[in-house]
Amino acid sequence: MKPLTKTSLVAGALALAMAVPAQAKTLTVITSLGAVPGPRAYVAIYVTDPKGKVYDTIHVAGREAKYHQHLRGWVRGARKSRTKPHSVTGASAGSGKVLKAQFEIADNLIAAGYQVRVDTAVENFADVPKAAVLTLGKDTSVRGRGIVRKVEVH
Amino acid sequence: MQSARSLHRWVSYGAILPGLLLAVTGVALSLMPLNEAVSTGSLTPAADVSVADVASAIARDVPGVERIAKSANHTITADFFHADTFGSVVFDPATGNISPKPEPTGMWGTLKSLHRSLFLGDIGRGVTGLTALSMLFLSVTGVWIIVSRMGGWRALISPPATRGWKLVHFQAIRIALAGLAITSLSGVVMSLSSFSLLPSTNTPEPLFPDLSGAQMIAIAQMEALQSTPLSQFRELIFPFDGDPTEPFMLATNSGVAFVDPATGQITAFEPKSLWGHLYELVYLLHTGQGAWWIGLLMGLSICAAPVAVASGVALVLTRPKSPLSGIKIAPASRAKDVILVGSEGGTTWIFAAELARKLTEAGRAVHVAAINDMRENYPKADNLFFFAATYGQGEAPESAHQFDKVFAKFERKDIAVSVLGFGDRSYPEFCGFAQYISAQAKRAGFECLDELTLIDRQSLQAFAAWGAQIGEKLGISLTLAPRLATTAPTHLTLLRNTRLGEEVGAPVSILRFEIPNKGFAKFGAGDLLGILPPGSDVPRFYSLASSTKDGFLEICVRRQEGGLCSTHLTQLVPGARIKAFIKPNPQFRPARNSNPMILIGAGAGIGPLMGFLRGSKGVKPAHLFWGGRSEQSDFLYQGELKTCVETGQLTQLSTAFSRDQSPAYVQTRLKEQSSEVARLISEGAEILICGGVNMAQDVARTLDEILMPNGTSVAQLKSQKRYLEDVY
Repeated sequence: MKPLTKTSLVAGALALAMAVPAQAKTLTVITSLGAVPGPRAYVAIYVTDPKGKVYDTIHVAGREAKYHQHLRGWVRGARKSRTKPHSVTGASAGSGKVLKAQFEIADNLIAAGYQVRVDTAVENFADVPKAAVLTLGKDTSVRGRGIVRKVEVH
Repeated sequence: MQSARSLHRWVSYGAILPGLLLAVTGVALSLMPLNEAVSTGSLTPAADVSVADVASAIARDVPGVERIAKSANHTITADFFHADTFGSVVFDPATGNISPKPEPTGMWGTLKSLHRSLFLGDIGRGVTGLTALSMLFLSVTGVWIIVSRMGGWRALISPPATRGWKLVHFQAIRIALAGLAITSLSGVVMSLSSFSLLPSTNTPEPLFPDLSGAQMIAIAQMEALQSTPLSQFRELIFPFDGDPTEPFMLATNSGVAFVDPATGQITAFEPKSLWGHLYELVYLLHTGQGAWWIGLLMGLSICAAPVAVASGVALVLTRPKSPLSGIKIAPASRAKDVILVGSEGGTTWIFAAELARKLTEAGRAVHVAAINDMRENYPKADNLFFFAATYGQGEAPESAHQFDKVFAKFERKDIAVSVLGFGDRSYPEFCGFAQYISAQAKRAGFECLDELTLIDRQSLQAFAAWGAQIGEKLGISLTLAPRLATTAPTHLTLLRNTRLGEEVGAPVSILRFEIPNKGFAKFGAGDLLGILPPGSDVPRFYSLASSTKDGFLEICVRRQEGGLCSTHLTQLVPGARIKAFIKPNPQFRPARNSNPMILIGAGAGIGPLMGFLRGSKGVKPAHLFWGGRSEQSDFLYQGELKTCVETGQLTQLSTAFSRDQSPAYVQTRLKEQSSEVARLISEGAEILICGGVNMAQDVARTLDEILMPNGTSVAQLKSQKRYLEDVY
């Protein structure tokens, strides 16, 4: 009985190791905001394929679901992928806020040109879809538009 | 009716403070659309230009423009992001002028936030939503009370016939009603929507189009924008920062479209849902945003709401004096004598008050309360008096519904009980509830101060005799003489005077009076209203066409040549007052069963018959034979009778007019339908007749002819109390 147990333990450990994609990375995305006019901003940080189809949502700042439609690139991309945008939500963001979040992605997707995108919306001001677009494997830091100063991925 | 009124009152108590706040801030906010229209110059309609004209002008003068929007008030604003700053400007399509967007002044924002949420966030929004719901409820029940009290929808627009605070309250409500109903209904919808309890009103984006990605053409050349007039325009979102992979998003009155910047054509369109259109109407009605004059009208209407509240408070404070006022009532803990009252209409309270007054004058400590409010103990009491009226078939009246519960909890048995019943011997179950109390008291082992005494039809003699007997037992002299509405005339206010028959020389009026107060005697259709004409102490009696339950007093009066009282009455205008009292007439009313009734009358004699019809509520099949002069001129209650026929409350209506093309009298109609009449009588129908002596004689003769073959007669029916006449 004893050797058998040992073998199955080893097999189990192997199987577990296989379940985690062997070539995957845990990355940190750092989104720095500039001056936010008026009230606080809603921000969506998400991963898409090169065409904008949402693959994963990393973080959404701003909890009121009824304002999420203003994060237009994110809503659009999620609609294209026919997956519901899951709501990884936190508080809406003010001026100078730095949003840090981690996500995991397979190497082959990085090689396929998957992107980290950031959308912003501020009440009474412009909704900015694609305020920043960072192509993984190519950029580590890009300048943003509107209220997004820059986005970095390490 | 009563319960609707008390529900109305309790809801208004609860909603009074937030309701006032919403009304006052709402009135102030009603000026906002006009203020905006004036300050931005959009008071005059926008010139009829296309979105392409406007957008290209703005794109030329505002670098970094990313959004152009037209507010509900037709103000056009452009938002831009240029040199790392966001900003907004206002564009005047008539002149092409661009000016900085005026700072939203603090006052409007503060008012709006107070009106929306009382500065309390979601809790405040919940409170205002519930308040709007209460206002809606009050508007509906208010209309219902007015309509049912005044007897018809016309009451909402006809001149009111009350005075004092009631008049102010009524007028203010009429003015406020439209505004309140509309803004509260729309407010409820908006509140539900803000809590996401209604489907979303936003039109979703159409599916994102595939774009050619080619060079953007000039905005002025884009066909989608050229073909959209400014009047249809809502919003245009530019590709941010000239992003070539982004389309223009164009929102119009009818939906949301994507426009390809390379072709200027619409590539995808999502129409606005029906609900979205509806919600915009709701929003327009509530805020006046987009039609400043609607805002002003609503504001003006709701101005009357605080007046309605103030006069309503005044009404409650000045309600008719209780019969107990002026009597020094002892607290329950010290009372020697306790009087517990079970009353439906309030008359029993007058008797109770009289006993309390006389006992107090004799130096005894007396406590008076409703039977429902009976305590578990009266530690100092020697005597417990129950004054009990009866409701319906021997049931407990309103203020004694809790009798069984409170009586079972009562702790002392060493107290002498006296039960006095009030009722009408002509009804079955005479004083049924008083008999029940007496039996319960005996069973529980209470000592009886005296035997159960029953007072028939408010008999003052019987009450005085009972008082003398009680006084003897208590060792005091007790002379009881209550002043009832039936003995003392009361002022009645005329609500309306419907005048008919002038053209055919038979002027007749349907006069409706207000029931003056709670203590006013209860009355039924067929009872008599004794009216004292000015300058005369001799009353004239008119049969009542209504009962207490109808909520008003109504009589039909035919103007007699040279008749002092009838001439006076038929010329009264709403608001006029007369002196009158009730004289019960229990001999003339339908039996309380479900047998059919044949109602026969002529002219003003329809009054009590109409009252019986109103009171039967369809329980008794009713056949009405009525004669007048001309269908065009003196057809009394024409509309209400037709409704009764439609609802089935009146099985058959047979009218005869003596001056119309084929002249006929009621007896003509009776003969025509003799077999039906005979059948009804054989089935136990009773006959109630009201009108002049001659008509009554003719009708009796005709009915005898009809009944002869069946071996019965009018005389026989009379002996069975199935043939009742009220003849003048």
